[in-house]
Amino acid sequence: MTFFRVIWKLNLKLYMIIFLSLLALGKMIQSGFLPALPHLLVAVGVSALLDAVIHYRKKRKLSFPLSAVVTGLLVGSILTPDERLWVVALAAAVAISSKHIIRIKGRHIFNPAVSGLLVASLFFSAPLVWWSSGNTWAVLIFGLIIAARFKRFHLLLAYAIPFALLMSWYALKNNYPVWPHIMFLNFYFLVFMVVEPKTSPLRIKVRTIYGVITAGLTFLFFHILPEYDASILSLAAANLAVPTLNYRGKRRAIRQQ
Amino acid sequence: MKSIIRVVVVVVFLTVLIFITRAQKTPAEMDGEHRHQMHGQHHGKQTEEVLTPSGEIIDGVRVIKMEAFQYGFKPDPVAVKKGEKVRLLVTSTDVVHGIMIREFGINEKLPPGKEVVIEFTADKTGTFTIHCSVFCGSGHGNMYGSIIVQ
Repeated sequence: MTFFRVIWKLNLKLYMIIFLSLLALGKMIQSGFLPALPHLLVAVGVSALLDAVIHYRKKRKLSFPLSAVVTGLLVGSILTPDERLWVVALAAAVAISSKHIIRIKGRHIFNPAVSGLLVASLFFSAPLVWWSSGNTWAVLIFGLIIAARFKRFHLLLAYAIPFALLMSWYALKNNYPVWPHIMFLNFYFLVFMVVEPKTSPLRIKVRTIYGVITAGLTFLFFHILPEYDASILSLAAANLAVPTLNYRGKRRAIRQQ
Repeated sequence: MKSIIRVVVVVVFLTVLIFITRAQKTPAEMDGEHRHQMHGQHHGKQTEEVLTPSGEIIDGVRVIKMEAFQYGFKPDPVAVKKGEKVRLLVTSTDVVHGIMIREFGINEKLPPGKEVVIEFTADKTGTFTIHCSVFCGSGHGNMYGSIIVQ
């Protein structure tokens, strides 16, 4: 079946675009297209346009900004649907700008959506509500497809297992119900943001460590900075550690040779 | 054979997805309460009515007991009068939640079973969204309430 072979061979960005759009569409069919749709369109429009312009200025050629569409979909799907439109646009613009400005050795440091959402959240008190993440089964199925297709199971587990263990310990220690606290695990964040290849480490072993670090940081921020979104803060902090992790991983690999 | 399995898997997957997406209801819909689904839709109607203020006045402060739960706040909406000093006594009844009312600079964590006291002056009129600021599970995106200052 050529059709399925073609689908299977799609790149990660196209998978993300299809899955993120399906989740947003599903939620909008369920809850109404307003006010979410205009926000989503503004986020995607600003990201795509800005990325295309920057790309054109750098390379003097036009290309369709697939990764910017992913960024826009993430920004629009995580910010609250009643956010001010200019904040949505600004978050999208910051996301794309950070991708082109904050770089080390040709790779951007921060997951672009994370930087945009951080600015919106820290400076404009924008609530991050993850409005299209509610369909856990769909997110899980998409996550499994992405993990199977792009060999990311180790990263998903490296985040999920420590996070579940830490939350269980926290719930038991405080006499809270355990399972609902384990389900604080944000699958949407895990499937669509933690696995981002450009801002996660290059080697499998190092990537596993990165997953564990991100999980630990999410738990830590959940405690010390509860007024901000722990997932987004933890990914930003973990992204900062990636150049060092890559460097140490490379040195160790050379030594082992 | 492999192709047929793939077709079946994709068809089943899409059917399940459509089913889940269309059938999944918010907790509020299930228990028959009036609740908004997307923040903006809900607010216009509320502001047209004049609501009886929530809670009671104690020593010149409007004291309102609130509950946070998966996935909502009670009472919803909360109604107060402009200029009143408001004290919210908020308790989470199940898991850790957060309460955020951006317009009044409120953002607090709500551990289960512990009453958290939040004080502010309702110095502007309008309908403001109460968000949960801690990701508290799959329905987190549906967890919000509103406060009406009239």
